[in-house]
Amino acid sequence: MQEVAVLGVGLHRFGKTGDAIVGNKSVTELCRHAVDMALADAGVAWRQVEAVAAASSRFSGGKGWGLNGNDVVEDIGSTGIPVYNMSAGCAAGGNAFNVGYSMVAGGLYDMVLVVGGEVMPKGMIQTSGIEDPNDREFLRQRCIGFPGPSFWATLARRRMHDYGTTEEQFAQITVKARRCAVGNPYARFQKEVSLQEVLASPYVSNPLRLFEICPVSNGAAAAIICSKAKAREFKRKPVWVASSAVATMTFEDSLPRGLAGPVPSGPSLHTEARAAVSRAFERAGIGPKDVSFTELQDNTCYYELAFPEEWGLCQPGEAERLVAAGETAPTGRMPINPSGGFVSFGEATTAMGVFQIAELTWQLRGESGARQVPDAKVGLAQTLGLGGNATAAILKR
Amino acid sequence: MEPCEFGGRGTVWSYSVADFPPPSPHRYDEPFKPYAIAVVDLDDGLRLVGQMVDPPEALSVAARVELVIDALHHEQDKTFTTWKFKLV
Repeated sequence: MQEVAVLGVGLHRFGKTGDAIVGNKSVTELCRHAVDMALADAGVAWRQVEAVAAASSRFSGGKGWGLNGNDVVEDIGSTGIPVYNMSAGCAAGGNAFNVGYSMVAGGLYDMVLVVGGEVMPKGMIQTSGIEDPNDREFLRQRCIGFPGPSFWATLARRRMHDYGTTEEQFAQITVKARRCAVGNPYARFQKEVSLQEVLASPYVSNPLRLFEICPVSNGAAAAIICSKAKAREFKRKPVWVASSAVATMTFEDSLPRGLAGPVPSGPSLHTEARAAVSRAFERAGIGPKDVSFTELQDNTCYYELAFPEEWGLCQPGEAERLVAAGETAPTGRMPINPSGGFVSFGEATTAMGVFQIAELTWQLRGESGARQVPDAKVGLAQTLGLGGNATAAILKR
Repeated sequence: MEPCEFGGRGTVWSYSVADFPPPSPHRYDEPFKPYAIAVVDLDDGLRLVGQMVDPPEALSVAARVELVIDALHHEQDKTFTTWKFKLV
């Protein structure tokens, strides 16, 4: 296995179709911006890129086949390089990073572009793409009427029962997230919100409110990764990939993803996310205590409470107190989503795993400005996607 | 595999409310009225999702419920039914 470096990263600021940020830009234009920025950041020319690992979208580009990496290559230059298009729902960006990483680590290529971009349709994400009676996500929606946000609301409601979590405590997490995004030039929302404003926003799915659930966004992210030997040829000081892991859910998962399942004997949690993160820890030889900060998939603020506990970053039932004490802020003992997270960016679904790599890289270089985690040495990133997909990556200085 | 029968009673593991009309492929009658969805642990070991026939404010975690058959939505002259839960 070769050591793998992140040499350069790029983002197009996230926005909403028709706004002043992304206007009517196509996904190809958004990706072009992110890729150009990553190439310039790395000091790498397009002809030096040996392969592309791209996130496949079902919402935009890719000729309707998820060929989003081919779109990028046709746009920037058809140099004949291999293109790998990775589909894993909202985890596709993390999956593309894992495949790019694995190919460099395995010695197949020395320089790979990882890229993801989205132009999202308006409104609630339509998770199930086809009317297939064999698809349990479809059955849950058509036969029961159980929408996506209600999945998150069900978990949040259960936490309120288990730990006495209040609606104010959920709202407080959004307040923290939006404060982190102030001054982050890539965030869609860059203004603070007050606790009162969050609590005044309407329920999307009780107990979760509009400001506590990430909207959909348009945006793109890119990373140039390379082998250690290759990195020596460039001036840019690399950030190192300590590990990258992928997992899928297991049978005892018991979250309400379909119509029915067995009553579990243990706790009900995202088994795919926990497995990906623990594999990433094992492979890196790094433990939860060594993590300087985490970028996790906060489709809703609930996950900022549950995930750190499920992964051993803190004790079960402790997260509310840590949030209240400011410990999850960039300057706290357990910083979570210093970027502002999905709640401040909105979800450009398949770009998110690569967006996290960009934020980890800036944090580890000390380039994150007001949201900088002091002396950040190790960063953890995690994504989650339809189909029970999850990814995790650990980057270090 | 062998056939297995499940009784109709169980305990609410958790629940949520559909406060907004959800996108396709969901189906509902107009005008949309918010409804509660429960995740129920049946006494016989099956965890099952279903709408509640009771209003959201009547519901709580650990409440006892039973399965009923009820209308999900209407289309032309047809009634589409599904299983739902009712507070015991």
